[in-house]
Amino acid sequence: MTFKKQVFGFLDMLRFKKLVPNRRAALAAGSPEPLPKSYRVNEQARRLHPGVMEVELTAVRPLCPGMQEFTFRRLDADAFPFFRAGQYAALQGNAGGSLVSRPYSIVSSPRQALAGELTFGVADAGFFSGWLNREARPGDRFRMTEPSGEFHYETLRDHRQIVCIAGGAGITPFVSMARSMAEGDEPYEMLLFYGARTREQLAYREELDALREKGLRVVYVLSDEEVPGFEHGFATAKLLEKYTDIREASFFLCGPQAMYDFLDRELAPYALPRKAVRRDASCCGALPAEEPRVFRLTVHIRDRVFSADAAENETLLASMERAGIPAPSKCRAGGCGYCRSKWLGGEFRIAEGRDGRREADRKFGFVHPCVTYPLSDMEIEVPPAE
Amino acid sequence: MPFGVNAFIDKMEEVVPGSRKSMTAFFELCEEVRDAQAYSSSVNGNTDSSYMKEHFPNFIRAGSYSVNEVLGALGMPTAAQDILNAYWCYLGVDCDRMSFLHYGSMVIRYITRDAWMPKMRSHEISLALEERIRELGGEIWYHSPVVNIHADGPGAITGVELSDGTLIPTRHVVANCSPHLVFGGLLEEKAVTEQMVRAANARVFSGRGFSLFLGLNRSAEELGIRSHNYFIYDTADSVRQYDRMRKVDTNHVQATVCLNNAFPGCSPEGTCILYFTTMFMSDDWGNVSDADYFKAKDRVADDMIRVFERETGCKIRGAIEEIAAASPTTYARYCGHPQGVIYGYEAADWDALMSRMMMMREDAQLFPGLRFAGGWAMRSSGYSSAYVSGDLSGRQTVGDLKKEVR
Repeated sequence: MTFKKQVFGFLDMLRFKKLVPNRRAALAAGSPEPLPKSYRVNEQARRLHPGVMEVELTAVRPLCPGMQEFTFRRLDADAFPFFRAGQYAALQGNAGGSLVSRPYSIVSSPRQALAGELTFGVADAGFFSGWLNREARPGDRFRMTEPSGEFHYETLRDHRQIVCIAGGAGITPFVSMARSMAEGDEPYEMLLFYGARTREQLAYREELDALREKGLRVVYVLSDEEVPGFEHGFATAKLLEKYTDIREASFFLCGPQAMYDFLDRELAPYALPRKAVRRDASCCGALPAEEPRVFRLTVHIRDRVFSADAAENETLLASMERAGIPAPSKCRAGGCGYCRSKWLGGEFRIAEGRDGRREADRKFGFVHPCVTYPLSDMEIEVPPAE
Repeated sequence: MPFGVNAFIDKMEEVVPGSRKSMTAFFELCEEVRDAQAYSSSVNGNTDSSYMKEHFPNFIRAGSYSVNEVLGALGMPTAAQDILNAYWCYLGVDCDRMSFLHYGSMVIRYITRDAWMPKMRSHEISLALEERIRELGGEIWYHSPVVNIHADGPGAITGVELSDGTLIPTRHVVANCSPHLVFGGLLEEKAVTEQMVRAANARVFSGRGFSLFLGLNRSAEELGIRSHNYFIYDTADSVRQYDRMRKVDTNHVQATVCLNNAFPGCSPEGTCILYFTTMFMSDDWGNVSDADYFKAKDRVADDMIRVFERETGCKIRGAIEEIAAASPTTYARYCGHPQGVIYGYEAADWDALMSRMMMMREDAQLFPGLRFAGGWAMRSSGYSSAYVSGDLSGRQTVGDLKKEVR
């Protein structure tokens, strides 16, 4: 084969003409064996990401006043997916006529998930959590989303030394993280500051104390009582300094907004990079309002049309749930995009600091109902829940 | 390497003295390939063979040869071939088996038109298409996986069934998924012929994707990242490299992009976005256990960062603020492709682009009423190819509908 201009090679032409017959013959010569029904990597994807799972509550036990532990098993498989300690799963149930879903940090470890067990620690606060604490009984059935979320250790980003600061019920993801470390699945060294009012308010104290033998360093910080062996007050920078080098650690915070605000002030003088401090996202709830206006929300799900009252201080997601409309949700904090819906009309606003939409989604009119409040009658197209 | 044919040839001559003649011949040949394809498109594939012979003789003559065969025939120095072939991983087939026509048409477009992307990334194109579909009266149902394609028998589709049991009557389906999935499970068994099974079994899965996305808390400039696109290989020999890509542990290939060097505004000031892609040319990834899954992702990501730092001298590790990795498992999860394949079937040897295009009509006859789009279709993988194959299959399906009406 040479390439002199315009000189025609007869054999090359013949080869070209054979392209089709050659391919036709090769396709016909394929094996007649049935095509595979499943593929190993896709099977793993289904195990790690099963989507929504059918679960049964197997045990309820008190942790501390106002907080109980709920243990689940799967009905549609033997094991829960392996996950990253610190992640959450959303529990969906029918509470008093409303189809409600709430994300909870997983308390059990990823190894326990493989053994078929998954637990949440739930404080008796809010609509669904309160209902769970009062009404839920072993044997009750729920649906649960697969473990999700970015509140977990990242080997390639974080310092090996992690400092976890929990306020009250915010202890839950850290129990999983400590267990996972003890089980050898995480490479970090964990120092945990656990703030509560009194000793009695500390959940999982026995478990955490037992994990000390496996390398966990835990410091209890009590605001309302002074007890030998316990720190008193709050997790101030000065207190943190006593136990660690603040500049050489990655921080994981889980607790109420007031705790985040307090720690922001305490850590400000250190000018830590943004990456050094991770906060667990909390649900986007209702806004305080004296006499909220109520608008009409029209919802399209495939070829069905629903209608609901939508108060201006409630998220579109909450209004849909209240009306029994099966809308999907996961993080309820604006970030995961699972509830992403097409905006068709009406005015709205998005909770401050919670607009997790992609830029193209903003341009083409998509919203995350979990953080969007109506300012007029609205019309949206929502994907069906799984 | 710079964009622009002359700049490319000049730069090549600078690094490989004596390459100018063969590089010039290469680009002339590529231009003929491009013109021939433009002609073919303009007549909807119904080419006149004497016109082809008269105007595009070298297109036909080179048409059945691989990249390496043609570059060898052009007398291109090995060092120049190594540089020119750097783009091979875009198409995922080593240069001994990749059709010259496929590579040449990609390279000429890339070098003459530059790399372009929407400011809001491919998602912006998807949504623009989405909006246009709505404007034209179409409906889009998300979260609605098809689990069955019902048919009375071969070539007689009656409808599709969604995961929640919803039935949608139709005689026509355009599937943007693997024929392996369609003929191996989605399509009712009584409609699956031995010919379909053989045709699917004959084909070879292309690369299984792995991507790493980094949000860095320093600017590209501060980190010394000067280019938009980096190709890093273990070896310039694409055949040996392809072989090393079969195993997770021996694969250190990366195609890495720093978006900020194309569009500085893509991330906040003082930060940049870097993403890495590689492929595994076997199902070695399937050996990863669930309990080792996150660690396995970290190992590949760690290696990508190590190799990038070693080859570019840019120290990025300390600047990682956000990190996310997508493994073949992730691609299997979101796209459903068997084994996490992202490039469809390998466009190699007998199944190369040209022969696929020439058999487009014949392939569609395998199952009337069913057409394919995306990476598994006639145009093979890649954004532009996916758009084009979707357009082709869409228009052809509309043609089928019109014929039915007549």
